[in-house]
Amino acid sequence: MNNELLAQVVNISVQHYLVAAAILFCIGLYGVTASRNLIKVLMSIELILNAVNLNFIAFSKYINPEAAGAGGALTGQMVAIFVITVAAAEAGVGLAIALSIFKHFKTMDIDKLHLMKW
Amino acid sequence: MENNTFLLSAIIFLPMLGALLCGVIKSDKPYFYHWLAAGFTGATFALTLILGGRYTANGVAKPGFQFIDVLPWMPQFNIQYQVGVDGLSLPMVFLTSLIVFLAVFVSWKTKERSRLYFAMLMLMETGVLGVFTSLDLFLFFVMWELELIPMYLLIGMWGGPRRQYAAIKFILYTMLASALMLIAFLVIYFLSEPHTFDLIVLLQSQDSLLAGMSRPFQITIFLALFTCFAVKLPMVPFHTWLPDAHVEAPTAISVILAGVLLKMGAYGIIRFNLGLFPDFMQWASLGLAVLGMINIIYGALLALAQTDMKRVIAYSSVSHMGFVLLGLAAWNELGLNGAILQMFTHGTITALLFIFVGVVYDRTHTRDMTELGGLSARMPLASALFVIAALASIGAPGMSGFVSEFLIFTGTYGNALTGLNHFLIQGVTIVAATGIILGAGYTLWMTRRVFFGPLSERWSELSDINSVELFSVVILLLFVFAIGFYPALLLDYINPASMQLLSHVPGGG
Amino acid sequence: MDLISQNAWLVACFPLLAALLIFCVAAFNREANKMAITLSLVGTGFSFVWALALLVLRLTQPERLLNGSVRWLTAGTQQLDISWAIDNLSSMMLVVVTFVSLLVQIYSIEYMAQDKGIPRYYGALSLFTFSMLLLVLADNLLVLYAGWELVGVSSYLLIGFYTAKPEAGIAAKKAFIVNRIGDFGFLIGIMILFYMTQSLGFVDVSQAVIAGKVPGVTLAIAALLLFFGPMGKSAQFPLHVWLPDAMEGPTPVSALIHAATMVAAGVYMVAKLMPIFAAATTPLFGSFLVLDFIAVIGGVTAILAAAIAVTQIDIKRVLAYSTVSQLGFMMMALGMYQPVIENGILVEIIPLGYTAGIFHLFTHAFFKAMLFLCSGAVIHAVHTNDMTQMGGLRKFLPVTAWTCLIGTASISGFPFLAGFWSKDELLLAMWEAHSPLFWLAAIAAVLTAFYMFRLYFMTFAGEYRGSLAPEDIHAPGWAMRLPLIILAVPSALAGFLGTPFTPEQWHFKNFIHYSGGHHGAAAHHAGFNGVVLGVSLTVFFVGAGLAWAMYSAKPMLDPKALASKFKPLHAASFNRFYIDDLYDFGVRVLLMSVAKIAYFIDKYIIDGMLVNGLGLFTIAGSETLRYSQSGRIQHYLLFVIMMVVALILLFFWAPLGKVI
Repeated sequence: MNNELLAQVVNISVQHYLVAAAILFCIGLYGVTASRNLIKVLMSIELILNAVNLNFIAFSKYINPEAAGAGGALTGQMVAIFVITVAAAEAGVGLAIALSIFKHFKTMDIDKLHLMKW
Repeated sequence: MENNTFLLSAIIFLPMLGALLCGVIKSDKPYFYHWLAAGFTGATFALTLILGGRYTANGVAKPGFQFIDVLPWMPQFNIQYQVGVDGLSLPMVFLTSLIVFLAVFVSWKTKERSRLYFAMLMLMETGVLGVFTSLDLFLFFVMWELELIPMYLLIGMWGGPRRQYAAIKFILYTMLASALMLIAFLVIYFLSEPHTFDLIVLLQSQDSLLAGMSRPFQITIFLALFTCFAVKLPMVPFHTWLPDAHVEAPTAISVILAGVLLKMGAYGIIRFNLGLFPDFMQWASLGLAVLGMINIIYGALLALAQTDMKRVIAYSSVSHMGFVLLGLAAWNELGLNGAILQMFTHGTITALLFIFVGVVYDRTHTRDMTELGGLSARMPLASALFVIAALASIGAPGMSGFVSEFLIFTGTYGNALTGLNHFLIQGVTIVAATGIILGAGYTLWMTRRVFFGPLSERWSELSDINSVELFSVVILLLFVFAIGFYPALLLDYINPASMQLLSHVPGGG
Repeated sequence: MDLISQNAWLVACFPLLAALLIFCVAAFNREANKMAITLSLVGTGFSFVWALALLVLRLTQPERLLNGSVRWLTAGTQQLDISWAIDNLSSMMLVVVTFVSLLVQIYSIEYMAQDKGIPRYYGALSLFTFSMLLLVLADNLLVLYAGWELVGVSSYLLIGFYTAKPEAGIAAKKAFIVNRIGDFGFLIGIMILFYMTQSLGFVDVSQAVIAGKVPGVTLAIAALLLFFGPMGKSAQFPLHVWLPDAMEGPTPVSALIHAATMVAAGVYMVAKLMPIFAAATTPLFGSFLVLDFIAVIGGVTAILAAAIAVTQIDIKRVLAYSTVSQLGFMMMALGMYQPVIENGILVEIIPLGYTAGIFHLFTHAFFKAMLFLCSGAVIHAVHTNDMTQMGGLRKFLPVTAWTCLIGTASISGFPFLAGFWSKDELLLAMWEAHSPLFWLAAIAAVLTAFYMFRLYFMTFAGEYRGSLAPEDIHAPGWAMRLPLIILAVPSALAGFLGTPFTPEQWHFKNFIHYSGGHHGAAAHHAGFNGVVLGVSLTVFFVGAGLAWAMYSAKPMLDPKALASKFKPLHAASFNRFYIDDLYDFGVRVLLMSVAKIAYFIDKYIIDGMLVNGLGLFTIAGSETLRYSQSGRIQHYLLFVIMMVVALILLFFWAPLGKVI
């Protein structure tokens, strides 16, 4: 099945991607704000980042597709790759912090980590 | 007078250079920083004398700004470095350089961290001189703030037991006030066309500036400026920072605070409120007179209720600065000249009184008048000079206080207002004149309690005033007497400026 | 003579120069007694010679103008000058002031010999002389006011000379402040006149006033306020309280400032500004003019002070109240006038007592100065002011006793002595003005004769009652005797310038008379009046006789018995009619309470509640808000999300968008 056929059958537009990304983003947000486990929070941040990535790539595909020859169409993908790289680094640093927090406090429950209050 | 002679700029920045040198040079020699400060402030004072000499042409002072130095600073925003003096600011520049120079000698006994102390002292002098000479609103604001920080440190680090409280009160109060000033300045900037901070331009185009604002807006801006300066003056009810600051500050800083810093408030009112909003100023005359009267009488009453010498003098400052407000309500040259002269007069005389409090405090370690008494037996020269200073403070003839009080009262009584306001201000003047009785009361009362009467055993070892202290006192007294005998000496500088200030008024003067 | 006439102002400058030099030297050497005395005497001596020359000039060449001015300051286009002018009145005052001042300074050489701070004393004396001369020289209100204030300042220094004595400091302060109360009115009067006439010169102001440039009511108020100044300086009721207390100063000072000069300044000022007072024809109420006010105040002062003087036992206080009383006489005389009524409207008033008041000022200056100096000699000898500790001093201090007797007789109005003639003139003026105050003055004169002879008898007659051994009572030396003897001459003879029988060209009134107004003063005066003369004589004999009966060597009436008989009266008089206590209450209780209340308001309401309250509010606010910082990052995040949602709603929700 070629792409055109697929487009005709499912009729996927940029909105579909955006809705998918928004759902992903909300799940991430929910995870960040509601989970108590530090690891889960970190994972949820990854979800948010990936939601953003999805948006980038979708926009790159649908907006300005004719500039593909000049490499313009790949701008979004480039940023996405950037984000993935940074996210990897962030995950590394985040997990390292999480590890040291666990060593220090013997817990991963972020409700118990409120030294910076008042 | 051609522009950019840089004489005035040299005066302003010489103390700052001294402050920088204090920072750069490290020396363990005793009195090294004392002499450094004396040298730089002395040179500044000498330059002001030259400035005063060159200000006149053929012995006649000219109206308008002179010695203008202009340099571009932030041309994108039409901000420039522009300074100049006229008959209003020249006496203030002179007073500042004189008082700070003498303050160095008054603080001769400061041993602790003298390097930072004198650096701050000189840095503050630059700020104050800048305030009195700035012809650019932005520069004025910068200089106004520049003076605050050293003062904060000087009170907060070298002050008395409650210095932290006093210093923080001083700086918060003044900062709050200067926030109002900044707002007003920005409004003026954005409403002027083209946007400018240039005071000379603004003074020439004030009518079009005012035309751009609605009346309530004008009043708001006017009041914002006025409140800012009233805090500094200090005007009742914004005066409570003053006694605390005075009581806690070391002697030399009290001298500067009363001698110079309070004049910044009065200067601001005359320069900006009266200069930029003359018709509002006239509209507010009755209010000014009433506020002045309250200052005079309320301050005098408070002074009567004190037992601490410094507090008496601090409240007397409140009372005496009320005379300035009263004089501004007159709208004639007599009153305005009197007000400007009163600024100078009060600067010298109150400085004198504070020096004497320092002299007494250094020897007895108390300022409480219930403990003191009969000091004239041990300190004959100091007490004789104090009596002279006290008499000067209550306006004895032959001394400068008499001249300014006489001018202010006659001027305000013959105020140039019309209608009911005219008569109301006359009435207010009469009530305010009771201040001369109360003033004599608290001043002589203090004199008697400290210097007259039997000497307590406790003070039998006191030494008389020493030569360093005497130096400052004699120099200040010279000015007090010179102006008292022949006020034209200073008024010939002031008069052209006050005539020009009043000439702006539509239908006034 | 040209030198003198063109430099008339120098008369005041010699003492000023002396004062400045003395103070400068004294700053370095506090024991420079000889130098101070010499400088001071030379300065005042020069002034005296200068003043005499000026007086001669006035007498011989009345057409020559002795005036001038220098610019003091310029405000706007208005120029204020220091201007001086010498007329007959001021030339007389110059001589009296310098003369008495010179004698007092000579007297002080011996009197003050034991005291410390001689240079300070002589410096202040010279400064005082300068101030007084400046006041006399003045030709405009500004200089008059400056001299006026300066007199107050230098008298402050002199009264408070004994710095270690607490009473002296209090008295000096009291003198200054009470004077300031008067000056407050004076200043306002000047303000009103300056505002109305736009000038300060005596001539300009009085011309403007006479030309009717000042509305009647305003003028009356201005004149009334101007009179506050003399009320303070000349110690008129109710501002007389400072003078008796001022006796805490050295006695020669009392002789100078409380007899001949400072207190005379008020009388001089009223006379000098008489054109203004006389022009105030608008009644204050009813038909009560400003001059009536002056006369009534003078009358009340004269009788009140005399009534207090009769019971005082401090010798200087008797003299002090006597001075107050005599000044009251002068003021009373100055307030006498004859109305000129045309068509039922008061168009002008002619002062009647002008010459008489000044004449009494002139004679009083001599005998009162002498009496004070006598009391000084007595105090110097017996080291007390208390007259109950004196008595019989005639044999120890013969010269003092004789001169004191002359002074006493003169002030009481013994026939043909100076005081007799001048008091006669005063009474005559009151008689001519048909004033009821005439009888008041007569009673006061009886009291005068009584308390003065009481003073004389208690001090010099009878037996010595004090505790000193007779050989310890030292008669004064020549430096003190000489001024007494010199002053005795005019005290006895000065009156012959103003008798009804004096030839016209030598008569005092030919030299000093009121010359303002349209009708001039030539309208009066009768010269000789039998009734007045009779009253005058009766008054003396009644008063002096009563004193003799009660206080002479063999008293016929017992003063103590009388005192207990009229106990309330005696107590009131002895306690100075409680006026001082009233002031004390006013100042110590009322004023200080107001001050304390003001301080309370300042400390607790303005500073405590408003200023520090604002600070407290800020602190309390942040203390509360800080609990929103839970330290849990998820809370912050949730808050951020909520805010973002809110913002989105704000911008995209249409109804809300319209509102904004």
